Amino acid sequence: MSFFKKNNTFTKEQQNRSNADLLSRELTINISTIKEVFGQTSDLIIRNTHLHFYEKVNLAIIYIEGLVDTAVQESVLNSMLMDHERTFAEKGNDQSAEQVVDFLINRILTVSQVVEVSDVTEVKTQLLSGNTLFFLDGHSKGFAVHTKGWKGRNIDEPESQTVVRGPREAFTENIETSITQIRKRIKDSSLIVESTQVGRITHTDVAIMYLKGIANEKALKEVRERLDKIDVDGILESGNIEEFIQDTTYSPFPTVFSTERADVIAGGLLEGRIAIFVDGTPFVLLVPALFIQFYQVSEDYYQRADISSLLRMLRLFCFIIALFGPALYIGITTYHMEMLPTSLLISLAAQREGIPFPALIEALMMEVAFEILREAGVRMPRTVGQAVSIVGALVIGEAAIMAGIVSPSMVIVVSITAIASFVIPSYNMAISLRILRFIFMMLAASFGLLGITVGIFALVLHLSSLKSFGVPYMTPFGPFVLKDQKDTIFRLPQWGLLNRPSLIAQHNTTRVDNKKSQKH
Amino acid sequence: MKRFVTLFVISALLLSVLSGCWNRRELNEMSLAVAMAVDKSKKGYHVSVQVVNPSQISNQQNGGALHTPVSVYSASGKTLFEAIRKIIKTSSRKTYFGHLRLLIFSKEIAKEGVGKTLDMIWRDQEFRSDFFMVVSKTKKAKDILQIFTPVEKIPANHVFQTLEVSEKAWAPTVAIDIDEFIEDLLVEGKNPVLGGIQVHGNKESGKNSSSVSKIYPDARLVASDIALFKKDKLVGWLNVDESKGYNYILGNVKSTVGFLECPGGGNITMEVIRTEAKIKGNVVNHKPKISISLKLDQNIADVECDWDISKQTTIKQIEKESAKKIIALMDKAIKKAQKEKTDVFGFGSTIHKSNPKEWAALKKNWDQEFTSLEVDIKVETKIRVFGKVNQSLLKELEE
Amino acid sequence: MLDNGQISSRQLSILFLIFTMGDSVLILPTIVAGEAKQDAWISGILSLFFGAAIVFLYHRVGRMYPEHTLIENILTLLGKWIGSIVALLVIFYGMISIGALLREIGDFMTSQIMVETPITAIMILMIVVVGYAVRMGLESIARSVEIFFPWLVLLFTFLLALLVPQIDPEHVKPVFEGGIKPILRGAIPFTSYPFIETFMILMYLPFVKNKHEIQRSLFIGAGLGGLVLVVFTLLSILVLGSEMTSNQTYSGYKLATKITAGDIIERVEALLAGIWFITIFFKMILYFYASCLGTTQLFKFKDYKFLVVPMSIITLSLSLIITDNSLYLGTVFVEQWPYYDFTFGIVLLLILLIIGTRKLKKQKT
Repeated sequence: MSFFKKNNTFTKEQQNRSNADLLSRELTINISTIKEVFGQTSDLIIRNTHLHFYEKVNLAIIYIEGLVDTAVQESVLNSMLMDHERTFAEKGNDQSAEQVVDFLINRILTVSQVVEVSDVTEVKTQLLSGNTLFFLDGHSKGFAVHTKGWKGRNIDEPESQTVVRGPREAFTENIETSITQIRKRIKDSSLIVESTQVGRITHTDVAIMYLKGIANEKALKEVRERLDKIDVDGILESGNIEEFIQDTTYSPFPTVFSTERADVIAGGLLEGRIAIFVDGTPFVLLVPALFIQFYQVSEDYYQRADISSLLRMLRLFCFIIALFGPALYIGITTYHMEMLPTSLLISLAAQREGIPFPALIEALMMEVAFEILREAGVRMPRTVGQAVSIVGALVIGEAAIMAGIVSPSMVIVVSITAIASFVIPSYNMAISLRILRFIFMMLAASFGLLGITVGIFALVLHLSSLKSFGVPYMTPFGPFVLKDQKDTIFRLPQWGLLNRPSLIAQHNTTRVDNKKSQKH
Repeated sequence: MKRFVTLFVISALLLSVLSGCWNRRELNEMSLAVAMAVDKSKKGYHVSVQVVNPSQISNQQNGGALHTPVSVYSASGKTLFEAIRKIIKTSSRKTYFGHLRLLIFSKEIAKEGVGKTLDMIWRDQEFRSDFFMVVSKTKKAKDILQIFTPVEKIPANHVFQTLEVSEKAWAPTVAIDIDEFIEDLLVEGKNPVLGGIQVHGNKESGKNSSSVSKIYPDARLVASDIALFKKDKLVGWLNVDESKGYNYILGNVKSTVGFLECPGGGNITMEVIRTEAKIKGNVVNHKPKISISLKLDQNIADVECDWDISKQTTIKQIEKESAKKIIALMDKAIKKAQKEKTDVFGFGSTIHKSNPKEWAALKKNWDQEFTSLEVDIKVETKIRVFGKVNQSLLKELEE
Repeated sequence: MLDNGQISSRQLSILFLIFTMGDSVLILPTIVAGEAKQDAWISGILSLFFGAAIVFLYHRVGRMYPEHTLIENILTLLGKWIGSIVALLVIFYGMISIGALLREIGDFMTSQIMVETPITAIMILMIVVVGYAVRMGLESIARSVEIFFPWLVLLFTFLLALLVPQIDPEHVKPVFEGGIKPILRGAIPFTSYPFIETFMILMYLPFVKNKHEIQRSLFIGAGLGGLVLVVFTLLSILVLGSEMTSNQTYSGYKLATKITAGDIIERVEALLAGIWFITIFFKMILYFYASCLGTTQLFKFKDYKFLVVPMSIITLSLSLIITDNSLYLGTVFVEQWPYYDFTFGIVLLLILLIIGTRKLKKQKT
């Protein structure tokens, strides 16, 4: 059969149906049933012929054009339609269908996988997966021969999460290629792939991958259950899956990590996480995902430990700026002027002379303008994107100040905030900060620093109420796990990272067997 | 769906709150007060406030020097708070006192007692406590606010920095903020002091911006002398020498200058670089006694006579002479304070700390006790550095 | 149990530490210095010993029925009728405490930082967040307290380090001026605010994972919290002097205004009010959660979450009617409140302990 094992619910469903849709012994009936199922689609190819080695039997070859690998198919056809009469004739000329079938499968078909199909639904799936089907007259089962193969993208460099040092291999849209990339990295029999199909119409291939004995069994069970629960007509991207399986919908924070980097997934698997591959997208999901994970990049492990630690701290600092930058500016300049040194205050006041808007409106205008620019820059073709940024810089940076609509200090604050938000490695985390930033600006404008403090309280409470597949989102800060601090804000050198994160891989947490690999 | 409704309600509430913005003050909707002067008026107080014109200060917009860097608004009222609020009648913006640098009392107010005015400032949350308080020696405190100052565009900042630096490097002035003043008022057996400020030169032409366009401005703000308070009332002044003595006693001196006369005419100047003062109290036979010991390191800064300073005996002599001179300064200060019957040195609180039981009896009559208080002063000086040369130029020339 | 949440013994320590510090960080030095003058810190050290005894009492009461909260204890030990009345009183104590804390924070904000803002607006903002926290459940509260804790330590060290240069050792002299009496009088609020007020921690003990570590956690929490308060009091006196400390309404805040480091770090008190915010927030949350849980257990409700909104409204109105002005609340805090604490935190618990021990002995024989 295909690469994938059947998932429980799906097989059940099929069994129920199969009673009604069993294939007939008559070839013509079978062909007309299939034609009926697929309607008048022109890419369904049905070719009537007979076996060369046993001409009594009529044969139909059915496949969907474009989904099959023509080279493989040709070799199959070759072997079937070639003259094998002599070899078969030895056994006599009056063979039962079963004997023919047996001979056909075991002696003639030279491809790896041949699967018997017995009902219409299976026929449908096999055809749509790109396999070629054979039907013999007088035999109630068809054979699906593995001829899957279509044109996909080559393995490319990742578009997001680029690194200076580290592998430059990204996943592709083809799920098998993606899985192979991990297999290549983790050559161990404990690497398990469980496959299923999701989507009533799209039948998208979805695969769960984990390391047996390391991954958290509870989380694994959760993943399986949640995937089973999905009932929707189509899954087009892993984002669709993410929305179905995440713990909390009403949260700006992502509780599922996604990446197109193979090394990140391999690293995650080694820590005991579970990867979810979805066919048709290079983005692979990784659960359980923790807050701090979104501030770490794979390069942290390839650079020197001290430098990576500093960079991680820088990223967290940027998180603070990106979240609170404009809010603090608004709060301090409108409520807590006493906090500023006199000379700074005078200079800020001088800049604000003649600005017609209150600080909040000024900041909102700038932020919204910036968001518009960013969105425009992402959607534009690359060549036009340049023009957008030039216009943006001129309009926002220069003209707005010259016209006295915004103050230069506000431009500084907004641009530092913007740059800081680009530092955050994960795109979906950066988006959540964009939303929260506006909320904090509102709070600062109505209650000053008190508003920000209260906001922080609510934020921290919200964060600590989140869970990702049973693991508290803020681990290892709350609950505090001293052992796991080694690879959180700081990263100890590799010889210090001998244990897996304790809440993710709940057993088998030691990475090494003996002390050999420690520093010499 | 329910969640969306609640979210909507919350954001609507938040927006309604926004429109309130009770405490919000935009930077360009308020004027920044940097100095305040309190004078006496017929009705009560006449308050003058020096506010900054930000656009004239900032480096970035030097669009024509049409405006002065600061402006002064003033108003009178029965109470201080009323007077301050009345200022809004003449000013377009509400005054913000969070960055006040300087509070000036006129002599009259100080003589009547500053306690009443201080209560308002001490109580109000907008006033912070890191501004200096001074007493104006010029008749009207308001005049001080109107003098243009060179280099530092904001006069209040000019005075603030002058006070801060001169307390450390010159000695006969004090920089007292409201916290210190009030602490001295509250502590048993101590009375507060304040620095003095006055205008030198032509007061009237100093109020014109042309004053600072000259290299030597027509009028200068000078920090000088120390005002003695008894409780919250001004009772007298220490002159330059006495002020120096005061600072020596309290160990405020970081660095200052002193000179001695040479035996053969001319002067020798010493730079004091380090002082350490210790005040000890003791009660013997119900008689309080204070002993002050001062350790002092000095450098020879300037030898303008032909004294042979290469000899150890000369050095010893200089040390002895300068100690004598400093004792005289301190003595003068104490005599003056005793004359005014105000214990500005906190000798009373020293006794309180060393002999709390005796103090209970002494404190009722402390002002009287203080006038006849026996003070024993010991000064130990050490000459550390002689500069780049040993012998004086004059001495070299002689040979 | 209503909330399946469990907290670790480390979380219990931190919760109790913050519970102990509560609002005391800001106002305790003022009150104690008003009584004991420059010897306030001696009152503090004395109170640490009283505190230890009281925490031991909590532990003993909690140990009798490790799976029971305080309210359940009261209901089983005092009988249905008396127990219900006492339980109601305890719940009311919790709510009026939230009201007082809310009022305190509102008064502080409106008198020190945001004068023109209506106190109701500030209090609504606070109670909304507190209510949100309670709805999130015990585990979330415990986790967030762990997240805040390092920041608290950081802020405190920061404050301590920057205030050391401002210290004037002369301020503590003369020691023992008024004898032992004022020191003992100072020790009353110093014992009751941090240690007796926190008897509500008994509502949380059943949720602790490792029951045998409870005693240690409680002592660590109370010890550290008490120590911080003693350090704060000593610092207030060393930096401000006893006169100024007792003169200021919020001496802790005044203390922060004293910070200057090289003309750069100046005027940071608004940020350092953060320490106080963290502790007072959690004190309110702990009272609130305990009251909600207690009510649920008293009336045998299935869930406590629906109580959050009505309870918020009640406490908010309590905080508005509790006093006319902040001065009155200040007097109550000094004069009556410690005895109110005493009634529940000591008398009630002692009664429970005596009845409980007898009952348990009977069961054994």
